[in-house]
Amino acid sequence: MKKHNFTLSAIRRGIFFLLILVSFALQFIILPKTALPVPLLLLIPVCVAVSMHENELYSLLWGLFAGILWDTASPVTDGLYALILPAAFLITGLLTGYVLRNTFLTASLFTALLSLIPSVLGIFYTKGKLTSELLASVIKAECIPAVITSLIILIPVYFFVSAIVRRFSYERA
Amino acid sequence: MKNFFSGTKFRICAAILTAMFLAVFISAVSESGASPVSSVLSYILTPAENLAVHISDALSDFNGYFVSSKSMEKQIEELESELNELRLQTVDYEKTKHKLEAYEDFLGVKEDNPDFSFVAGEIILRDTSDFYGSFTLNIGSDDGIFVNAPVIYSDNLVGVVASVSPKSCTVHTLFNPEISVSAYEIRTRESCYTESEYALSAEGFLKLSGLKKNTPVVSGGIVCTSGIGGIYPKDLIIGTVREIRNDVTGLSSFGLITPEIDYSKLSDVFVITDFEGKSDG
Repeated sequence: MKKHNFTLSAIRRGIFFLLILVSFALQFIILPKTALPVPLLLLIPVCVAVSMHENELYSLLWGLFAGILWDTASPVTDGLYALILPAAFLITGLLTGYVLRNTFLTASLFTALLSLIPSVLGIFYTKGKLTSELLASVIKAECIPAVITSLIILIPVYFFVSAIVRRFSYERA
Repeated sequence: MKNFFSGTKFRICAAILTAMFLAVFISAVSESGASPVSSVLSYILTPAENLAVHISDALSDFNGYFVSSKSMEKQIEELESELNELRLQTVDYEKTKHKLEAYEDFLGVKEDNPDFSFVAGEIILRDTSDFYGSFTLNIGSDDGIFVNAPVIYSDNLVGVVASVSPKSCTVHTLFNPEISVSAYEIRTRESCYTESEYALSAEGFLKLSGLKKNTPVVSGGIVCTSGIGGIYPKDLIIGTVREIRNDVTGLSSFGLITPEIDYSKLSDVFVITDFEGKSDG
């Protein structure tokens, strides 16, 4: 029984691993070649959905994996993604495990908040004074499109991850 | 939640986060600018990313083949396979032609500047969340790349290497506010320098500062690197002047320039590793 449970967990986490890898490839290799008017932050909704279905430690580990991948494409941020994403997804896992219910609405809330991370880092790494004009243009051109596109992506991703968890969990088997 | 904070899981999480914090600290103070974790992983990830780029290219070719064969089926079935073969050959030909043109341009630059040493690099990753279009190349310190090495396409300056790991490097484009290039306008020879601001870069403009109040520089003028400072070689094209405006102080003018090439469409670039007048610092 224990062995069977282990196999199901391994399959589930193998699928999550592939899902994060595919999201990374889409976000940084394939989609930038297309003429999309807004950047798609696929890794954020995918990791939100995954971490909401995992325990705290695994939430942190998935965040770490995504953060390290993100840093290879954006090492100009001094490896900050590998620190921020594990912390953010640890909090996501903790809140979902102990305080909030695991629903699509909760996932939307986390996704909307975490989609702002790249824009906040962008402002942090922008040389010069932080003016209200700069902030307004960043919110208009970066934050709002990032939140909207991430929420749209979250819809299929959240239900896909939920289905995977239902299919490959011990209770179901 | 109390159980979590008093258990082993919390200690493991705290240890991982502390390690990542140390990695950020090391990255911030290191000369290469790359996180130690990214540097180590670049040995595994860069070949994998190269492979992903080639798979992505192959898939886009396959898609073109599939779509065209579908439409051909309806029209001339007997010539379908032959046509598709020709189409694939055309795709290959166009790709090779494009690459050849790029290399011919570089050859021209090399002939004009025999002191230049180049390393060719392919763009493997683009950080779409970066405001200024940074990208990652498949060459790194193992290929002789170093921080602040100029990156060019043909005789146009594209940007500068911002961080290096053994197998890859990240490039800041000229739109990044951290980059300021000493320049001159070729017709008037007036000295100036480029700067960047978020609002201007979002519209595709670079700021040309340091112009005199009644500058003779006019719209259409070509701006090139001056070579002062020893980071960038002299006479690389930065862009074309689109507009001249007066500074708010009224003591000087500034220009708005646009680069000659669209950075988002680049796939291959060259990194200059050595040139006459290069600063050793």
